[in-house]
Amino acid sequence: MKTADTREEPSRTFATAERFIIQRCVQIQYRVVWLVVVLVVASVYLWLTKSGWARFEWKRDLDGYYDLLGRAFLSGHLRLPIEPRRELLALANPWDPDLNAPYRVLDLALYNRHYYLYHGAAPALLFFAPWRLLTGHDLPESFAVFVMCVGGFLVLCELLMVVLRTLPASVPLWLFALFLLTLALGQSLSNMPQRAMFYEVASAAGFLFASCGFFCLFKSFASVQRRVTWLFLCGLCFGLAAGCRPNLVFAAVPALAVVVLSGPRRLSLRALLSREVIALALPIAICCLCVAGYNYARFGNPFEFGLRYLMATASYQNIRPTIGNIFPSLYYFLFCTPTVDPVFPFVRLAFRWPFESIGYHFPARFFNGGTGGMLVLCPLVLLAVGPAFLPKKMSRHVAVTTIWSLTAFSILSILFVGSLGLVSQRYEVDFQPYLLLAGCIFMGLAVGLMRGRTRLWVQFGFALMMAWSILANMALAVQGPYDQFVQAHPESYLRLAKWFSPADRFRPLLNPPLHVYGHFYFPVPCSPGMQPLFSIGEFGSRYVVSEVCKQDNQITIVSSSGDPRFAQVWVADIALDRAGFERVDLDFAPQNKNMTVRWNGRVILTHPLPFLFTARSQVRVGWDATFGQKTAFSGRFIVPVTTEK
Amino acid sequence: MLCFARLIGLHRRSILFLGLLLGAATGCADHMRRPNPQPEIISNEDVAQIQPAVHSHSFTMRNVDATRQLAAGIHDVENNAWRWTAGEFSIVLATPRGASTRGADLVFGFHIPDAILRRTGPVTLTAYLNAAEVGARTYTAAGAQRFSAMIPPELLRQSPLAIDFHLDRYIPRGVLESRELGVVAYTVSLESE
Repeated sequence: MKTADTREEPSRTFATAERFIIQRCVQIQYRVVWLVVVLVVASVYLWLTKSGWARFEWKRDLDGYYDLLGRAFLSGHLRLPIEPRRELLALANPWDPDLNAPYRVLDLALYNRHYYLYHGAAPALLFFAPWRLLTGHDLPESFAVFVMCVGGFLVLCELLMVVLRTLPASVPLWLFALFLLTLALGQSLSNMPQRAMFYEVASAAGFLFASCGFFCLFKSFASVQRRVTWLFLCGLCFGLAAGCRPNLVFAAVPALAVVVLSGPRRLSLRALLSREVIALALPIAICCLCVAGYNYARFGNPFEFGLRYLMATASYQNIRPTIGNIFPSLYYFLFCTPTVDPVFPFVRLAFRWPFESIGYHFPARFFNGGTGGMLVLCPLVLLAVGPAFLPKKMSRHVAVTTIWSLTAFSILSILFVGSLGLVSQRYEVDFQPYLLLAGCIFMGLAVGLMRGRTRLWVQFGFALMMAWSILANMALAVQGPYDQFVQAHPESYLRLAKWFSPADRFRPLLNPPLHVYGHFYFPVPCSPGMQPLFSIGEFGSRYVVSEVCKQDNQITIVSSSGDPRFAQVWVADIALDRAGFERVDLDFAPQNKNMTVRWNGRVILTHPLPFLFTARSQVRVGWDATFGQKTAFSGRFIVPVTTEK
Repeated sequence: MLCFARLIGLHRRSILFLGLLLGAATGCADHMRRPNPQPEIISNEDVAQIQPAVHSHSFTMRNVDATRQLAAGIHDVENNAWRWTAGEFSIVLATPRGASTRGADLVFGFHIPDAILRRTGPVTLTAYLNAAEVGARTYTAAGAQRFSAMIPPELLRQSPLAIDFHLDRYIPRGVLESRELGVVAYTVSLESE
């Protein structure tokens, strides 16, 4: 038929063919941009993975918890091949964090004299055990996280592209490129590769499977013939995601709601038992049953993941969802502002009180591993609720349905994770990528509905927000959750920092010669608590000298280097013979990397440092600003400077 | 191939801009690769930029602005004129111009009330600079007094200075009132000739 038409109306056929070629060209252009962005993102993720302590080791057995679990599965066990120490088993209560600290293996569950992993088993079953079986060696956890993050990102990109294709108007190429870059680098996912351990394995695998689930869900909307197949795959992916991070099972809720409500017989029993619903629900139910069986086989309780038996500090041992945890968690996940610093990488995570209400009493079990508020670091996620403001005729558009599914799941996930009282930047990966994707889809939709100058301004506004998200999150990604880059490769970090540090005062220096001193007023009896005398550098490269009141006229000088949570500490005791100003000097010798502390000219302490890394502006006398919390020496102090040469 | 040409054609400005950006960045990189000299020592001059400045080398006790130069052991201002000190008290003073070559005179103007002297007997006031004694004097009579100590130039090469005063006898807290009482301070200064 088409051939006959061609003969009859050659000009129309020619126009159609031209249009087809143009469309193909446009599609290829988008694909080229996609390819370039994917290559850039994969390179950045690989670089971030290698910027910390992680090494890809292929030829020897590794001690990652997922490697151990993979090996356990292959040997027919659920317990990890680690024997608990005899001292630990001999304790009256081996789970008591005050007693077990010297003997425990952190963050494993001890039950029936065996160690178990409380994180989801799906990554071990699907990646680590097969890899070991095929290669005879362990899969490095860092490499697994890198692959899962890139894989999840690719799926999100694909989902974004297929959704954008359904929109009435296409988005400009540059805006599309920004969407992709923001999806990869403008959110907390980029914070994971640098410190890729078993925590990140579970999160990254959950992210990969949940993304696949949403992709399949969308394909089920668009496909009539293979709708059931896509829904089955969607259910399987969501089930596997729950096998990595149980809270990801909430992805099934909006998916089921969409499938039920989009059918011809809404909310009837027949609708609930339709082929589509069964195809979606069955694999999820099977996966959940497998998880319950796995729990029962380990702990004799299908609902026990091992949290009750966790070897951990009191702040996160035996956590359970409670309403009281939600308020502070929401603050940390949504609103907590980072510290903006003139020294590279310019944005840092800060430990703050909820809404700056100093003295706020946290719930009994609340763990804060450091977060940046999602609405501050990636304000685009707010656009995920944008469809509420769209014209009603758009409400049944497949893109809008997708946005609502992503948003509903994210809200459920935030509330559940928040109720656990576990707050960390990596947990934002359980919801932020989907909110951001929903935001990107909405941006595409909104831009398509606008014309003229309004469209230009809105695009400009979106671009600004995306640029901020990318810059802020990349700053955090370079720093990583434990500032490992500067600790593992200070020279490389310095070279990178110099690119972005034109001002001498804010340019980082590696092992600079240093001599600073101050006169501090020490009362007798001394003021209680720990007070900073000097602080240098930030976070992983931080060095602090503090004073601690021991007795009335006895103080201890504490010299501490590195991440405050795992600091290397040296101390010296000082007797105060009277109240008054005392001179304290700090000297760093680059030759031997020794930091020397002097008290009225007398050497009281020599602390060998791995390195000293600081900008001039980060040398502070009398105060400290670790994690954005400013603490100052409570007495008077002066920092004399030479008046005349 | 046609599509690729079309892509280039449509985005030639963006590609040109990216090229310029890359060129500039490469230039920067070349600059960054140059060997760096050993950085200059980080010293108090770097740190002092973010410390509260002390400008005054002389002040009266009624001057509210001078409060930040009172380090410890000096009570609130009374009658808008004087302040009681404790047995040990400390102040911060800026170094006056020229003091690093000519030295300076530390002058402390105060009053010993009769009621205090009757209880304590003769009082010795000692001044320390950087934990080193710079002067001491014993007072046996009540009334207005002046303490003066010549500080050599080698101790005045930096600014500000922390000066500690020590009274060997004073009224402990709870005897006359809840505060520890030493002398009544009026002025303090560091004067260079």
